[in-house]
Amino acid sequence: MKKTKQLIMGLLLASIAAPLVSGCGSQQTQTKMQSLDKYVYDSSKVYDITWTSWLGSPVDEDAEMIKYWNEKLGVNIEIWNIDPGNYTEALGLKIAGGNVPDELWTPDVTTYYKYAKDGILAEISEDILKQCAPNLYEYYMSEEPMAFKYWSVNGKQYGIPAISSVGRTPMVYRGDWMKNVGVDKVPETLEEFEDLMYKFAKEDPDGNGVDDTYGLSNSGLDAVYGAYGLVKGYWLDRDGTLVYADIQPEMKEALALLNKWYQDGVLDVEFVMDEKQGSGSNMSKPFVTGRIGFTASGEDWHYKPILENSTEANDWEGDNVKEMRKLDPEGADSITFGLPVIGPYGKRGMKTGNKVGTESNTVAFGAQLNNEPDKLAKILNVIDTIGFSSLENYLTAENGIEGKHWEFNDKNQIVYLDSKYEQYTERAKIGAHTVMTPLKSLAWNTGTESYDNWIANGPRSKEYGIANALKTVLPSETRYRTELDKLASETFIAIITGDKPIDEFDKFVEDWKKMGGETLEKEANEWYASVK
Amino acid sequence: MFKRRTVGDVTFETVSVIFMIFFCITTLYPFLYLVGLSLSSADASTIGYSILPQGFSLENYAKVLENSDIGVGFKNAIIKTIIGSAVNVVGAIIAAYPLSKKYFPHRSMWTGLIVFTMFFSGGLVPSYLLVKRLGLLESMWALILPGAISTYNMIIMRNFFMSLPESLEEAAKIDGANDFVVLIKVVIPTSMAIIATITLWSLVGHWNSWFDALIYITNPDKQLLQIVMRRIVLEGTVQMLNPNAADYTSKPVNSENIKAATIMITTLPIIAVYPFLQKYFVKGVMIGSLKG
Repeated sequence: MKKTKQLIMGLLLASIAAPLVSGCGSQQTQTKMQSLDKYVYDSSKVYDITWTSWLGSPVDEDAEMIKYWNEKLGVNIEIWNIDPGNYTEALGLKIAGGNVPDELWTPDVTTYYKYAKDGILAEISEDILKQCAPNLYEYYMSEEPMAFKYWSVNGKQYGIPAISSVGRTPMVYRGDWMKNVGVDKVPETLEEFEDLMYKFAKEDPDGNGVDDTYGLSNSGLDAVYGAYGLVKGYWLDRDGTLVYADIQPEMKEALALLNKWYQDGVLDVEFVMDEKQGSGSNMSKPFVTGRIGFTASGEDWHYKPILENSTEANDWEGDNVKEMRKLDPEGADSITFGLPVIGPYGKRGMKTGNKVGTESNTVAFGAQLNNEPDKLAKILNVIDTIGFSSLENYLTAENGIEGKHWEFNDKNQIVYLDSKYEQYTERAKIGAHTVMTPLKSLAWNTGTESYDNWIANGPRSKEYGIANALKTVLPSETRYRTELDKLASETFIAIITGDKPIDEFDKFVEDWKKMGGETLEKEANEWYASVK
Repeated sequence: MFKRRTVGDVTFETVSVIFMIFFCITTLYPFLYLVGLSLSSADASTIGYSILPQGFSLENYAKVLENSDIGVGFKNAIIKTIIGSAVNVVGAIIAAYPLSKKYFPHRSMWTGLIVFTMFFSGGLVPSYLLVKRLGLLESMWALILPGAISTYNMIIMRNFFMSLPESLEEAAKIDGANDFVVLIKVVIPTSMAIIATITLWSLVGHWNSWFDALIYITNPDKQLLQIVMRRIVLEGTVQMLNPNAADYTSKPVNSENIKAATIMITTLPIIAVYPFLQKYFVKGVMIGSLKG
């Protein structure tokens, strides 16, 4: 199995090696100037393009929207229906079978690196992007200028990371419980937070006369780490050096505090379990069922109420609110957001994603395009036109043709003319939804004005986020990371439950370094130096 | 049958009955939970653990059946299961019968070669390449031919045939029957127990398989029910999350109740087959047990 793969990769590699080699050398600048001239597409030619993307549902043959773009842009796009559930595996088989799609979407950075190193991707550069996809380039420069640099493999660029919209983990309290225990101010500091958690646990906030409540559970641990400026599993910049959050001395203090809360019955005894239980569920079970009064589980929009004067047609309620309403309508209406609490060193923050990071999906191009620079230019033009050039194109790509599939109502909301298109799976079938927008500008998200307003005034999840300072996968990460994560989790749980003394933490730090952590620290800082 | 029961007998029976009851509960509970969930109305909480539906409603089933993908998938899955099982059973019989005969030349070598495939396989990529080069991609035969002969089933069938008395065959031959007539008129009728068993296994195997369809079939008109179900059930889970819309714009369109109803609809046809084949089943597995 491996041999066949290697053989095929080898052949592919050989077939693309020649143009790559000739592209380097002493006359680099000159070659560059010349080589850019070839990245111009022939507008009289119809290009056949094989295309992959995240598909909500397999796209129909002769899908309407694919036809629309084909005619509009002068291309002939063939969509590969690859199920997103086993995407990497299924795509890998097709590639092993000798077919590499022209436009190749990968769900994560690891797959992208692998393909780049296997030599099945065409090389691109910032200059090519600047020339062939000017709108895209400009957008990236304004959002995350380092994006292309983060994505280089051995100094060369093969792919474009998608930019994600990011939000900090929300801090969610039960307002009705706060009222019942006589607290009307949302905690600002760790002390106030601790006080409220003790009251939630001890003062019968649900008023049923039984001691059956806790302050917080699994997701609450993050809130405490955050008060010390830490996010478990993240790399942080400390005076220009990358350090790993789990082994910082503040972590020891956070664990000691949690240990105290556990002993006092404030931290849920079942805190070891993830709050999200059940398949496909975003809800925090202990929070929804009234076992805990604080949660930081899921995303801000899982707690979103139906907004008044929403700019979206058929405004929706977040999973947690919806489920809670079934059990306790009063509790659902009282959901209150706070900000990350300030810890003893004046730090505050919670986990937030990266606009471009290890979880970003990537668009790359099959190595066959090394020999067809004009086609590569055309594909970049297609991506640029649909996802970055105008709101009109973006809305068409996501929703279908205006007047045929949807229209604006008098409140400027998008209304689908056939209600089945409200389901994204139905839109995917005709080639809309995300089929043609593997990369897109987030500036086009319309209908979300009321939502953005809510974010800014409710959960305020754009503030006080701590992002992972490491935006790549380290070479030795696959070798050590699982073991190290396991060691950290086991030690933390043992310390919190009191199975092991607090001082066990010092031994953990030593073990962590010995078990490969030191190598990771070294690699992380090497990477950090390389992108500065 | 009034045998005196000792204390030991009673204890043993009590313990095994209690054990079996618990065993049955653990097996049945998740299933009944899904039944309950699928019959609950949409505004019922999905968080409680109850096997009783909260507010009876067939709405979920109606919604699932409205889904055009389910209809297409159902049709394809039934055709594939029936043809595939027929190929499996016929294949197992015609492979097992010669191998059960002691006078078949190089019998142990042939058997050995076939058993070898149970332990060593080419792996995923070569299988894919084979199917691709045979031109079977996008065809239902890609799901049937690679597994046409199930080695395990074939061996069980062979062992069953070997247990039939040789005199049966000899008697038929004296009456002028050739090998084919012996197989069709004598061996098969006396082997219905094992054939029913293998049929059931093949049906269940074909009905449950999905991964081959995922990699060989991408045309939406040819997709199988299992793939459709998987997509609906996994919707919104980490595995299927849509990273293109890292915010809420692709929130799941199906509720937990609809997911449960989809699972029920996919499972019921194969459960319905069991009662008809059950009586052969127990017998067949026993007789097919390995013999020298």
